Amino acid sequence: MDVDSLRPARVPLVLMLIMVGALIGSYGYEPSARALPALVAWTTIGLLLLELFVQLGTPLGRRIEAFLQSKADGEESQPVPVSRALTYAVGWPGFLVAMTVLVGILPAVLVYVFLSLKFVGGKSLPRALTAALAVTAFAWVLFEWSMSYQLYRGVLMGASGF
Amino acid sequence: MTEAFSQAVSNLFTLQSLSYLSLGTGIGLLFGAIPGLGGTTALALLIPMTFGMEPDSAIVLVGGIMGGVPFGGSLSAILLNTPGAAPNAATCFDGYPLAQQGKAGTAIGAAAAASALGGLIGVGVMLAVIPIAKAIVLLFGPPEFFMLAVLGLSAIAVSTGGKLIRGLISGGFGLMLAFVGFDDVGGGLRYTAGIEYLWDGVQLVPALIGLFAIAEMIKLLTVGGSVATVGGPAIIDRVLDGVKAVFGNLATLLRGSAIGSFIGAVPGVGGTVASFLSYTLTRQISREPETFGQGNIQGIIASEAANNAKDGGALIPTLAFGIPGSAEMAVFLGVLVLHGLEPGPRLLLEHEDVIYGLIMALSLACVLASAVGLVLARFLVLVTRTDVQYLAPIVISVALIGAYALQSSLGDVVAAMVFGVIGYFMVRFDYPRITMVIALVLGGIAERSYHQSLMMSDGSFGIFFTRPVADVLLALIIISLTLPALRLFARRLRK
Repeated sequence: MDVDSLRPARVPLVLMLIMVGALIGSYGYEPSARALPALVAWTTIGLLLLELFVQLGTPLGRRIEAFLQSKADGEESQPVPVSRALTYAVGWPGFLVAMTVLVGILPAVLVYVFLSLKFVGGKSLPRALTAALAVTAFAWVLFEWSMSYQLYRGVLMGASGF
Repeated sequence: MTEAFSQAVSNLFTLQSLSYLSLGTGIGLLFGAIPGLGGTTALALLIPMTFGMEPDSAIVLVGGIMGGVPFGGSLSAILLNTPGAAPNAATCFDGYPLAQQGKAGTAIGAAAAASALGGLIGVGVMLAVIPIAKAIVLLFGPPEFFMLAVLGLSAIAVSTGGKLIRGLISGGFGLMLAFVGFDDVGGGLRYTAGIEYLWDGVQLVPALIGLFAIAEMIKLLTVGGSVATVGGPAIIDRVLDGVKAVFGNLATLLRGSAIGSFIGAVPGVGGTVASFLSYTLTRQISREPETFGQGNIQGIIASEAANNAKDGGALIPTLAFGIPGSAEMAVFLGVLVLHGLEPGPRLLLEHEDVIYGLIMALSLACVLASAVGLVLARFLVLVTRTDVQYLAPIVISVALIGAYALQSSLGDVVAAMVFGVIGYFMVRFDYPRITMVIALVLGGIAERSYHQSLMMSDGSFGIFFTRPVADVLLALIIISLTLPALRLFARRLRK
């Protein structure tokens, strides 16, 4: 069995490790508290084993696949993006969350939408600025003006954190 | 009854009441369409605004909100694959593929008509059922709730486009997430890793926002372009095709409405299970089950009809017994109490005009929301053609604000982001997100009912198999899990 043929097993194996961790953790709780978590963990580990057989294309896996009519795409269903695109896609919303904690929601949204449109989306300065102002104004009108609901102000502005 | 009804009609058809109804419907559409906000948030935020109003006006405003929210949620589900609330998630399955094919107008038309008719049928069922409501509600005890939770999960896993094992695995992880926080029975903490935010458990709304809204935007950002993958100008002339499709699939509409009304009336289960059961059943009895998930209009009709009909059903236990069927109904209960209306049998006897006023407001709001949606459909489809570089930052910002607004918690914002990344990897590795969401909804109900059942039976598991309704639900679980194999077997026999 070459290394490439084991590739589809990566995800079920990682998930199994997580679930085994949760199962071990459940045995640290009172019997009543662990009853369902342990049952669910054992069942999910069993299902992950089935998925592993299906992904590895073993004879048993093929039978399971036929019986349950469970598709086994194995590889990623979505085209794998280049790492830079994925880093931007995850990193920018992460930046918004960090900014929110620091300066509050409204300034964070203004800065995030503007920078994201200008430097990732490649939009012109007026367009990026207009969109950023429009989204921020919408949030302000909907929450702060019409409902008198104060959005988070940020730890740098004196608000408490988590 | 006739007197109360005519009193309700004369109260509703005044300029003031119709203005409140329109305002409520507009607010409902807006809050429904923004992922994470939904009816509960809208009602919770607007309770103080109703304080100075007459009870009739407050009820009309609330009825408008409750009627507008479900259709608002279906708009974002169809256009952005981002359900406004959990019950709209089933609409994504076929609504979003239609939007990608450039047929968002058709999908919105079908959703509008199914929402309006489903809502009207739900209200009609409520009117018919109120006299026998108590008997129906009492059929469901803890063992039945447990079985209903298992049925919801298994039926939904089966409906995930031929990915039964992965659907169940996602469900397993969702259940484990539902167990995080305080244990209802023993009172101890589980799986919190010392994080105080997790003491109250994993919150559904931030998880939903992350798994759908943020994950979808991350996915779109990595591939670029727009939601609609079909080129050319936005197709905006097929809205009526969707409306016609609803009348061509009356059986689907009636089945969805019946499921919505029934499930809505069972306290604690809610619209998510209703819309998914309706979707799953429609898919399973269809002659072309493989077309579901690819843009089958029946999928939208089934889920939307159930989602809107459930409000009528949920009003039965709320008004008749003061037992809210959902979080939204719990807040609505608060509105009633605030205005001196004590829910329960006496409300039905002493304030019939208020009940009929609410019923009529809800019915009109369903129709009004759908009509507004149809008028706006031609503009809304443009969202699917918008450059993702514009769309993603805006949707992510609004979604994270929605996550915060729910309970003014910064932890919810972080949780939404974490679930966004989890959701993206679930899409990438082809694990259904929806079973995880359903498991999060049902996990608490399942565990509570499980322990209550065992307490009732002194620890005997026989209680799950010796009660008629639980037995029927068990049979449905077995059927739903074995249906793919049975269908394959039947096909081989035919050959």
